Amino acid sequence: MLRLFLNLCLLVSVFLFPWWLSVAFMGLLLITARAYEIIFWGFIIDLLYGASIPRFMNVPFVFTLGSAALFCLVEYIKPRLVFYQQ
Amino acid sequence: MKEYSLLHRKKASPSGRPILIGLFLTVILSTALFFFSPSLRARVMALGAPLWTVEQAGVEALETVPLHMKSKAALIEEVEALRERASHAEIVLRRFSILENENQHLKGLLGRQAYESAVLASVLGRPPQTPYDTFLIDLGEHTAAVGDRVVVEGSVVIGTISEVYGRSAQVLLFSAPGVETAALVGPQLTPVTARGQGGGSFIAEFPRDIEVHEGDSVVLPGVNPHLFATVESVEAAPSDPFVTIRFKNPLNLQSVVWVQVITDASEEPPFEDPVPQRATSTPASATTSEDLPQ
Repeated sequence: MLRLFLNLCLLVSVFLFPWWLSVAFMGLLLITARAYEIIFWGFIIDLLYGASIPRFMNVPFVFTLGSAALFCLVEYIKPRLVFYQQ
Repeated sequence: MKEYSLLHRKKASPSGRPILIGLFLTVILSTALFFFSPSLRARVMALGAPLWTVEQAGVEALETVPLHMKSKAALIEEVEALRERASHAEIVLRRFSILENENQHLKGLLGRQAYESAVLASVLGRPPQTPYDTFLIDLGEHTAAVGDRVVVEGSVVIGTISEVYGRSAQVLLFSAPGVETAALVGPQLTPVTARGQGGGSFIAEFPRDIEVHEGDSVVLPGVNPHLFATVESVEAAPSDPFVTIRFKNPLNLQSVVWVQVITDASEEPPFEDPVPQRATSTPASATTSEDLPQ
């Protein structure tokens, strides 16, 4: 239920709210579940707003790659934490 | 006991499967983004359009709420102060309009009278909603083209159109991090390369011999130079032969609701269409805030 709610929040956030709020929702989603969908949300952000700018080495899908990296990192760390329950 | 259970609880052995699935998804989505970006974007934009419309209507409605809370006396006082400011601004504007006409006339005598056609567009998305320092506007491929300049209030240039979709377009702001733009600074119009810092800020360096002061205008070069930014600070270390200047867009990018896209800049007077269109053709820089919808 929480997962569904956070996904709905992300849906609205991606279109209407500042990008960092979407990143915060993605973080929450990753903590609460094995949320493959954050990669999809990163993809949607890039699809909507992606642009080639020099600071990101002209790569227009920074959020897709960033959310994938975040997902992999969290999924790597989670099973190694003593207090985390699957 | 609790400590014991924490330390000796059996954990599932770490599996690399979720990570592999995640990487697989990333490869698929990145490939889709690379090859099918325009068509996918158009679909997602269509999904977002009603949300943006509702947001805009909501913001406009909410803006009037504080007015209902104010007392009548405070409102009368504010109206008086605004009237005074408006009458002062009108006098300044008249002076500018005389100077603009003179400027156009002189350029005409020298054979360089330039005209610009501008189309009004509504802003659908702006920073910080957009992470890449871009604007999303509601002009599509039928009206706008990649490379068209985007101005606010007819005189402040903020960026160029970087991508055009069916019914929307993306504007890459000059202030996007790392973007470099040639500009002219100060009363001597010294050429500099402005490097975007994000959020409407820029930085540039040049020799300290050249005089630049806080508040000086920065313009984009051209027959009709557009205001680009104003100098915020000039930093110079005593031992450094160069000065660093920081400048900023003269308006708050987060509150921009309407922009104008310069779709055509030519030296020929525009064709006057007997039927009024959405596009307005005016001598360059003659557009004022009065042209914007109230």
